[in-house]
Amino acid sequence: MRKTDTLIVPPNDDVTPHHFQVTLREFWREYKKNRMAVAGIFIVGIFVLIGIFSPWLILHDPNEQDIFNRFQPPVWMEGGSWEYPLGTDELGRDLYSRIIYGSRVSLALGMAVAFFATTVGVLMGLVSGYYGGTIDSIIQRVVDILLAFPYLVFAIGLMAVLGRGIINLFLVLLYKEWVTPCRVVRSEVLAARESEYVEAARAVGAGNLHIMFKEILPNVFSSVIVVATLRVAWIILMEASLSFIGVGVPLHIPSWGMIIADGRGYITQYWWLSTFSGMAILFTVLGINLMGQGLRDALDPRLKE
Amino acid sequence: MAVNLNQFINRLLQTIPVVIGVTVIVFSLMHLIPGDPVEIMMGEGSVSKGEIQRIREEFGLHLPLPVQYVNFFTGLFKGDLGYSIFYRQQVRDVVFSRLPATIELMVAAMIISLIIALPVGIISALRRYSLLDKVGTLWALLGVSMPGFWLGLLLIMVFSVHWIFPVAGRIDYGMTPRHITGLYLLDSILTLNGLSFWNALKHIFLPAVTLGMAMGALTMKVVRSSMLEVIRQDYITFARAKGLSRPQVVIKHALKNAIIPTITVVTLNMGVLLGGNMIVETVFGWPGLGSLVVNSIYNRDYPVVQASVLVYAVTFIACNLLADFLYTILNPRVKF
Repeated sequence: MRKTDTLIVPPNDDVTPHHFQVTLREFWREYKKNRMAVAGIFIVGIFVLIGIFSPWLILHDPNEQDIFNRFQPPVWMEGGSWEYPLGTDELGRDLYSRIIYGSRVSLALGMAVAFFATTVGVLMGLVSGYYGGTIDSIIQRVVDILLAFPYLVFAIGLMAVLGRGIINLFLVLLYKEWVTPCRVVRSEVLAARESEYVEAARAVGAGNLHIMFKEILPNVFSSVIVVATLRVAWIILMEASLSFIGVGVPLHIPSWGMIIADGRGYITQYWWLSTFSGMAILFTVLGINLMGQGLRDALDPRLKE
Repeated sequence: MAVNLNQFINRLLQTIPVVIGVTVIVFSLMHLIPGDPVEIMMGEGSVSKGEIQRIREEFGLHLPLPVQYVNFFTGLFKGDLGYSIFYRQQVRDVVFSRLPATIELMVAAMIISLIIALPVGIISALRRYSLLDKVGTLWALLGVSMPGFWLGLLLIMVFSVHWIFPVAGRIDYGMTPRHITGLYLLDSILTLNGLSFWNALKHIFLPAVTLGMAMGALTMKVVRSSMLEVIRQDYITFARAKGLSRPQVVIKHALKNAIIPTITVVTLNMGVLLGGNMIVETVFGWPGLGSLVVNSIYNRDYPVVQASVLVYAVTFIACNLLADFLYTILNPRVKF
């Protein structure tokens, strides 16, 4: 069910905000039916708060080394202390502080890449689907070429030659990431192009830009939101994988993937080194996936299972 | 069939620009390296400028870029993937010596994922909201949310304590079966070498499970949803009304149709397996293409990275082609 009624709103200024409010409330009523989705929002919310307030939550500088306190166990184990709630790693760094700080890279990068990739992808998809013809062929061939690389292979290959770094990570992920929203939007635009409301807009003399951005875009927006949300989860997993391999974030920035890699050599003796960081990834990604599924069910009932 | 043949040729032709585009990207990898790749690969400051110039000329790196690309591209047809300074070998030989290990792991992962995904998917579709269905849903969720390398490490942690499974390598020293295909499991069956088979099986189990979990979760979801769709159809009701038993209907009628989307999706999801393979090989020290890439990054052996990325991409393209072909072959309504 498309919300075509939003388009027949009379051009009266005070109508639009009111209308938005109602849809938002309607949306929430629909969304909260799914308890798992609410749990998802809750989990993501906690991690976002941790990310924002991490400078106040940490107990030690995440990079501070203390060789005399290497491999301290977590607080509930024998020999553990509140000084290092989740224990310390092979250089005596506080795991708790590192994991808290690690949330920043994961979430910030995940959201930034998803945001910019979606923006680029939506523009490309709109243009590609709306105009068709040569420009569509060109964009779709580029999409095909990028899709021909398995995601991680592509990212590892590029990061291998570019070297570690946040900007490099951002660009490499962005380079591949816009493809998904582009394809989704394009296929929606292809359907919308033939619809009555677009025909009506054209009949009253609306220009191409107006039709694309004011008529079609609001109608495909719910799909875009769903795709963008689910992509954040994927990007976080990719960043963690790249950092685990050693081609992700630079060494001085704690990241969940890198913390797991650091602990890898010692896991049979000191299980906590890699375990907690992995749980942080798991819960964040799980939360985002639950949220994305909830959004999909609430915004796009067609896709409901 | 005539229509199908045309479709096939059309689809094949469409692949050509994609392959060319892929080679352009792979080629440009080498030129994205900040600094002089030759100098970096030889070890900075360890070789004289004259020597570097000589190497550049030997490998044609002094030529204009388009010429270099044409040389690269035509070289591919001759099987020339470049020269690895690190291994002092043709890249082709380095890459191909690693392929059997990777193929073996991927096939094993695929088999494991199917062994679990098919029954779970089918039963959870038939018995919706049962315990198994809930477990399946949880698995589907975890499969896309859990980082593969972490799962691998957890498995190592749990199983290495009790030493049930070895945690690194493909086979113990001295157990390697006589070389026939390079796939140890297959070779040991062919040479009737039970000890090697058991040893290789123990080695491959954990990496294959790690790799198969994510893939299996995706497969299970497809099996479940296509089963759900199929069993609502009239012909299933009819088959039941005809007096066929439930297992008969499920296996002979429903599964046959539900399997089509499954095959397509499994083939399309090969990307997950191919990418995950790099990670899992690294975690388990599996001597395949994936760990080769990761090691080559540390060794700054860029030609090997380049060639491996190309091999992965070409495999993936082939899988997508296969998925399309299978779909067109299988889709024109399965006969009963």
